[in-house]
Amino acid sequence: MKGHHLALRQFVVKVHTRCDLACDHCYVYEHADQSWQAKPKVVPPETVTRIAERISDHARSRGLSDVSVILHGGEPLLAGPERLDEILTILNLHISPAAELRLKVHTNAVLLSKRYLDVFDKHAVQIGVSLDGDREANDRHRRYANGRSSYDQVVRGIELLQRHSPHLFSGILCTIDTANDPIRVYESLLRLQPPKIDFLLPHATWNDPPPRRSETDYADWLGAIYDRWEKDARPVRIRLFDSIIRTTYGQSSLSEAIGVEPSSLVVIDTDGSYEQVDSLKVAYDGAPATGLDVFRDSLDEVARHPGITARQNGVDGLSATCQACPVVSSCGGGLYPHRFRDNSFDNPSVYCADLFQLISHVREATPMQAHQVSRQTIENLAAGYGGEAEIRSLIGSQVSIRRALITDERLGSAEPDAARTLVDLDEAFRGVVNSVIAHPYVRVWAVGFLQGRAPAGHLRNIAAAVAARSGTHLKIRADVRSGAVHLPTVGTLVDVDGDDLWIEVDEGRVRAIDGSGEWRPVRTLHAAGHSVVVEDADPYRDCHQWPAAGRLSDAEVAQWQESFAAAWELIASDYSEYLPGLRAGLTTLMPLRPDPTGRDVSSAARHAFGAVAAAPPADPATLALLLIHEFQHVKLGAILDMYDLYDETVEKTFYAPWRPDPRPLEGLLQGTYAHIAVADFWRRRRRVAPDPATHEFARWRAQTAEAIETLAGSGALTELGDAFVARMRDTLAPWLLDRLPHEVEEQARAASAAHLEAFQSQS
Amino acid sequence: MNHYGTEIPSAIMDICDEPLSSVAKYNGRELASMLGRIMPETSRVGVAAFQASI
Ligand code: SF4
Repeated sequence: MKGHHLALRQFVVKVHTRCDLACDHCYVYEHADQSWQAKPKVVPPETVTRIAERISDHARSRGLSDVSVILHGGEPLLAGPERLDEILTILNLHISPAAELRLKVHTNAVLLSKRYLDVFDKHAVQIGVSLDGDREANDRHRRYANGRSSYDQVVRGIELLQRHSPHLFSGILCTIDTANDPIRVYESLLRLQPPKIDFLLPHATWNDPPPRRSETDYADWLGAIYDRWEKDARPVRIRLFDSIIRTTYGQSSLSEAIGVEPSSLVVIDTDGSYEQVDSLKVAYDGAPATGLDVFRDSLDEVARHPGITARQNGVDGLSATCQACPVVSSCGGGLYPHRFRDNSFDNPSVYCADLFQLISHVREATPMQAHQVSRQTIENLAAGYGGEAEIRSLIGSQVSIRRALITDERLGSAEPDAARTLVDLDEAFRGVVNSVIAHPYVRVWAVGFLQGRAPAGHLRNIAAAVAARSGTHLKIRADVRSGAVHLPTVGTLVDVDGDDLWIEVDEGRVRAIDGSGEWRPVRTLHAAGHSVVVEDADPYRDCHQWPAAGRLSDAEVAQWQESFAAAWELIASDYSEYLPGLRAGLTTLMPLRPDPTGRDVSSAARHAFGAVAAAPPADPATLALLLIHEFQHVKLGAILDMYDLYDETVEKTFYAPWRPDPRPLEGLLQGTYAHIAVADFWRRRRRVAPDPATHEFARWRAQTAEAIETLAGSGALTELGDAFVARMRDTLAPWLLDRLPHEVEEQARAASAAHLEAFQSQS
Repeated sequence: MNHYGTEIPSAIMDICDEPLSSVAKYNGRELASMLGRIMPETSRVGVAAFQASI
């Protein structure tokens, strides 16, 4: 059963209490708490076993998918490679069956050798190193007890790590001393090519403030590095800056140094005692102690300890000054121990002035604009319609989403050459890039890749598609799926072998360099003033509720052409309010396999903005209805990408008058929004085909009206969602006054009542 | 967010005309929230990571 208190997910295991350096800023030895002297030097195996069992029990009882264990000290390497191997083996043995185990070690790297690296490689342990900058900076504090410099040893350790096991190197931690030149520190760390750097403020409290030359000494120092880092186009991840930027844009912080994320951390000492985060040692002697230990107490009990829960209350747990602070969402009052003054943590950080200045500086330097939509535009869309301007504003945000997806660093590292080619093409042909990536199934593929379901290689085909459409010459190793190379929005080279194939794109023509395959350009369906791609080849198109059809024959395309032109003409004449929106936003028709039962099937997919999927319809009027209906889903999906219309945390499900099963709020909203258009379709259709239009209209308007009231009364809509649903209601209201034959009204009412009764008896 | 103003800022950053090289720079930082929004299943529970390890 899940407990009331937050689960613990990070476990700092002290493996050795001593250190081979005597850094004067270390919180373990140089601050108020001196408890280390009474503990075993190395953690005994039986204690490790107990620690591992406790972690595994906690992971199981809280249903955790993963936990982190960080080997720390003192200096953990002092335990020796054999003992570390034993410790890591015990941890893996007990914890891995319960949850994914992420292992890290943090070291001064002085002792790092191949023997240690072999052990860390064997157990996939990420290695972080402490280094304070260049020789002069590092030697200011990080020396041996006899005063000798540790710099050469540490750099040697990092270089060995880079040569021997670069995949294990997780980064460098640098404690700030503002007496050092910030740019020299930055450059010297960068030269070691760490994947990440973090700068730590020296441990201090209000009672024991840090050395400083001015009120904002640390902000000035960090600000100089920040400016240089931006000028260098952010060549390395810097955790502090990344955290400020992420929190500014609504994401979580990456470290407890700033931010309002709850603490999920516990430290376990060599004697098996649980402690709160041990940087609390700076506050007062014994400050981190919990009085609990692995031999007597479970981690569920530790999770309930007031010292742990005190750091899980977000902004509400901060001092009144912090709560009122304009940068609190990024700062979060700074590192917890830095708030200590006279027996209380209910204060801003002793670095408050620095944090405020640094965060404000970073925020000013990264001003990104969000897509904005006018209230009128949203109202027009909410009413169920939306013309060219409304749809264009949705398309803009879709293009931004796709630009973000295709530049994700995971894609960039999987396909560095294609990523670079796209960057170059984008400089010269941004419009072409945007129109290729706007293809509905580019987003489907990119999301699939990021979720581990699709290969990265399609990025090369996208680059080739841009080259083809911009008339650029390009030779590229294209990705082959099911014997074909598909270039989105351009065409497909079919009947080719292998997993990839070198192709040449020249003056818009595409051919395999070995001459294999047959090129088939994309086919389009035309109607008065509009055309759409008939997408029967994209390997990522099969993402709809119903299976995709295979490649269409010429005769099948001709049939689609006939239906599409006729459906479009019908929309233009009888449903003209929908035409400008469809013309602006419908780019793709994706043929589905006909349903074996003969019913009409059609679909839109959240990631495939611009596409409507349908099986061949019985007649043009059916296709017109399917297009109008599915395009409602396309529009609303894009609106939901941009805005919160409801509270996503609400898990409750709701009665939908057209479904046998209860629906989550998004499903109900999507269905209701689409059914406004369905009701509208049948309302107008009564003139030409009173049967079945009258019955259909009676049924859909009743069901839609009922669903609108369910939405409005759900208590889960945001303020914007309330306004949106109110506009939906305004559209429907006059239709409810349309007089229909009495028996039709009666039948609709009876059908609704029977549906509700069946639903209630089932649930 | 002021829903009664004339323009309503959305959760999607406007990078339509931002060079792809800078968009890459923003990924994982400025754009993390917007991508987390369209792929909620990939966003992880945010907890405060131990600062004395990296
Ligand atoms: S800047 Fe100062 S007042 Fe603002 S949240 Fe940070 S510590 Fe608190």
